[in-house]
Amino acid sequence: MMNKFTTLFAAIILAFATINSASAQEPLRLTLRDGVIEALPFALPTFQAEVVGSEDMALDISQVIIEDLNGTGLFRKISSSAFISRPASFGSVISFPDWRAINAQALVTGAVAVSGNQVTVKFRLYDVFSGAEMGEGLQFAGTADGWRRMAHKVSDVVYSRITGEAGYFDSRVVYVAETGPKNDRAKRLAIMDYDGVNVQYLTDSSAIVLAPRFSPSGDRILYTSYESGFPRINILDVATVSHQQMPTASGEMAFSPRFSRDGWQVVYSLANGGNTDIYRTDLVTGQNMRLTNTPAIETAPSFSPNGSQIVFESDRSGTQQLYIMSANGVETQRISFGNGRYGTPVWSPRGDLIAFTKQNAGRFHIGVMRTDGTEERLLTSSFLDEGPTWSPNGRVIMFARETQGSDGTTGLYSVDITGRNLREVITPQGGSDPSWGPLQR
Amino acid sequence: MSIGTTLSGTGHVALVVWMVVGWGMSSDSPPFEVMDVSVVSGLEFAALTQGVQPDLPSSEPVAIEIPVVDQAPSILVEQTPPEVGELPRPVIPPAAESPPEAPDLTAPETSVTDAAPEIPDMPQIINPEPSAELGSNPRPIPRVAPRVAPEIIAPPEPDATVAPDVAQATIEEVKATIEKITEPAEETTAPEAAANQIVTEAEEPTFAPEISSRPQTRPQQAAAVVEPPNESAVDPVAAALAAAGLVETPTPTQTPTVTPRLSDGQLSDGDKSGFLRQIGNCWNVGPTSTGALNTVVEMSFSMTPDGRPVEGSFELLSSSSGNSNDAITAYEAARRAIIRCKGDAGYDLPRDQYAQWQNVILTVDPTAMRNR
Repeated sequence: MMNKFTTLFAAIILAFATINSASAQEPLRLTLRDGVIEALPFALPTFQAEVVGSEDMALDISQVIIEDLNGTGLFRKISSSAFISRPASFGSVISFPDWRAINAQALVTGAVAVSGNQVTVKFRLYDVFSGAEMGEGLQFAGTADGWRRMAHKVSDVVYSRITGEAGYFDSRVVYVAETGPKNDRAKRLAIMDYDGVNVQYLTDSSAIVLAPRFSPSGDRILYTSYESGFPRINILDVATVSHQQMPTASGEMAFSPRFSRDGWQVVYSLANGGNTDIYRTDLVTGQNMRLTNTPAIETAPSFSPNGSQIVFESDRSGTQQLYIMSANGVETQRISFGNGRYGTPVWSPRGDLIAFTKQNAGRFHIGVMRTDGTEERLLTSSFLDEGPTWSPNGRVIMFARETQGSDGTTGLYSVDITGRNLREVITPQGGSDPSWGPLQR
Repeated sequence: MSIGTTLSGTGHVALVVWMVVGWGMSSDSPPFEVMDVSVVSGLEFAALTQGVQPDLPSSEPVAIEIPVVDQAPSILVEQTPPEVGELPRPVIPPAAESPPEAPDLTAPETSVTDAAPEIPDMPQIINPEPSAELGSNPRPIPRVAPRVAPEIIAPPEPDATVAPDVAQATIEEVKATIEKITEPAEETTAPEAAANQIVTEAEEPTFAPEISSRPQTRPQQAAAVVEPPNESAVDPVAAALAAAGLVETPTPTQTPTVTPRLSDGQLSDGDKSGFLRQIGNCWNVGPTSTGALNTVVEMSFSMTPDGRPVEGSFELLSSSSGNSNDAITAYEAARRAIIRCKGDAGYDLPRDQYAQWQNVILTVDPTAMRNR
C-alpha cells in the first residue's frame, strides 16, 4: 500500500516537473535591423457635416488635412474610390477589416459643424491593424476665418501621434517676395502659412529688404533694410505691422541679424572699414558686445537652442567655413572641414544638427551636420540653393532655390532632413530668404 | 437492559454530544476560488464574432478652444517710425542714429491668398485643336491629274476612315506634347518610392547598379511549400483593387498561404532569419521621428501555435532612449509590423518547434536604417 502511494506521488512530481520544463522554454531572442522606408498609407473619409450647411467646410478641412499629411512625404493618402465602407456617423463603429483590406494603416474620421461664424472640428485617429484608437478624440473650435488653422491643428495632432514628434503645420513663414528681372528685382517682406497660402505683405518694395528672421515667439521679425541707403536692422511687430530700427553698435553696415532663443538678444554682423565682425545686443539693456575680432569676414551667426553657443561662418582660414563659439565669443572652434565653402549655418531647434549652404564644384547644396561637424550630409544640389531655415519641430528644412540664366526665377523649396520629399512651396511670386516661425498657439 | 440497548443508547448520546459541542468547534470550510464573471452583451458578442470593435460608449472628445487667428493687418498705411516705447516688449533704447524717414508706403496687395502663380504663356503650337481635322483628313490630298478620261471621274473614296478612338488617342498625344513643352525645366518634386535606402538629390548616383551587391540574408529552404493559387482563396476585394491599380504595396492578406511546416530538430538560423525578414517587410521606419530612429527597444510577445502573434501579449521591455515618446513610437511601429505581416496563415515557422518560438523577445534596432 505504501509503495503504491509513493509511486503515485513520484509520478505526480515528475509530471509537474515535465510541465514546468516545457513552460520554462527560453523565449526566442531575435534582433530586427532591416526594415523598409515608405510613406504610411492612411485613409481620411471626408469629415461628416454635423449641421446642415457645413458640407463645404467639412470638405475643405478634410482636403487641407490630406494635403498636410501627404505633403510630409511620410504619409500617403488612399484614394477615396478604394474605400469599401465609410463611417455612417462620427461615433459609429469602425469596420477595421474593410480598412485593412485596402492596406490603410491609419484612419482619420471627423465631423464639422458650422454655426454662424463659429466652426467646430472633431476627429479620431485609429491604428487600423491594431484595431484601436490612437489617443483620445479631440475637438477644436474657432471662427470661420480660422478654418485652415483648425485643419492644420488636426494635422499636427495626427502627425504627432503617429510619428512621435511635434507637427509643424500650424506655423507661418516670413520671406522676401521677389518680382521682376534679376537685374531689377523688387523685394518686400511677406508672411504666409507654411504651405504658401494666405500670403500677406509686410513692407512695400521701395527699399531692398533682406534676411527676415522670426522671433522665437513669432511676434516680431528682424530684417535688414536698405531704406537709408545702407543696410540697417529693423524690428517689425507682426501684430501692428509697425517697424523701428534696432539700436546696434556704431558701424557702417549692420546685417544678418538673428534672435536668441529667449528673444531678448540679437546677434548680427557689423561692417567697419572693410572688416566684418559679429556683435550681440541686449534688447532690454541696450548693451552691445563684440564677439569676434579678426580681420576676416565673419557673419551669419545663429544661437544654439540653449543660448550657450553661436555658430557662424568665417573666412579666417582662407576659405568660408563654419565655426562655433560660446555666446560670449570665446572658445571658438572650426567644425567644417570638407571641400568647398560653407555658409549660412542655422542651428536646429532640437540642437542636434546644423543646417548650412555649401558651394562646391560649381554647385550649391543644402546640407546638415552634427554640431561637432561630423556626419555631414548634403540634401540638395542645384545651380543655387541657399538660406536654410528649420521647421519648428526640426524635421524639415525650407530654403531658396534660384534657376540659372538671366530669366532665372527664385522660389522656395522644402526637404525632409533625411533628404526625401524635396518639393516646391508655391508662392504667388518668387521668394527667397525664408524664416520659419514657431507653432502658433 | 441488554448490551445492545446499552451500546445503542451510548452511541446516540455520544452523537448528540458531538453535534452540540463539536459542531461549534469545527474548522472553517476550505477556501474556494471566486472568479468574477463579466456579462458580455449581445452587441459585444456579435462584434467579437465579427472581428470588429463593439460600439461602446466612448469618451467625448476633449474640447480645445482655438483662439481667433491672429491675422496680421494686411495693409501698411502709415509707416511713421514709432516711438521706442511703442514696441510692446522689450523696451528698446533709442538708436544711436536717428532713423531715416520712412517712405510713404503704398498699400501692398492684400487680395493674394490662394492665388496660384501665373502660368507662363504656352508656346505657340501649330494646330492646337486637332480634333476637327484628324478625323476627316489623315491622308494627303492627291494632285490634280491631267484629264485622260472622256468624263470627269469623282475622286476615289478613302481606303479607310480613322476610328474615333484612334483620333482621340492622337489628340491625347498632342495634348501630352503640349504639356511636355510647358513643363518646367527642373523637377520640383523628388520621386517617391518604397525603399530601404534614402538617396538625396545630392547623392543621386550616375550609374545605378542593376544587381544588389548585398548578400542574400536567408539561405535556401526546402521546407517551405507554397500552395498553388487557389481561386476560391483569392480575396476578391484585393484582386479588384490590384486590378484597378489602387493598392501599390502588397497587403498582408496577399501573403502567400503556406502549409504548416515541420522540421526535424532545432529552430534553424534560416527559420529565424526568415521570420525576421517577414516582419521586416512590414517594419516601416519612414513615418517615425528621428528620435525614434535613434532608439533601440526590446519587446516581447507570444505566438499562437498557428504562427500568429497574440495581440494582447505585446510588452515593451526596455529602450535605449531616455525619451519615452521615442521609445513608444519605435515600439508601436514594430508592433504594427508584427501584426500586419502575419498573413492569412500566420508566420512561416516550423509548427513542431512551437515551444521554441511560442514566446519571442525581439530587439528592434533602427539605427542602421537611419544612416541609409
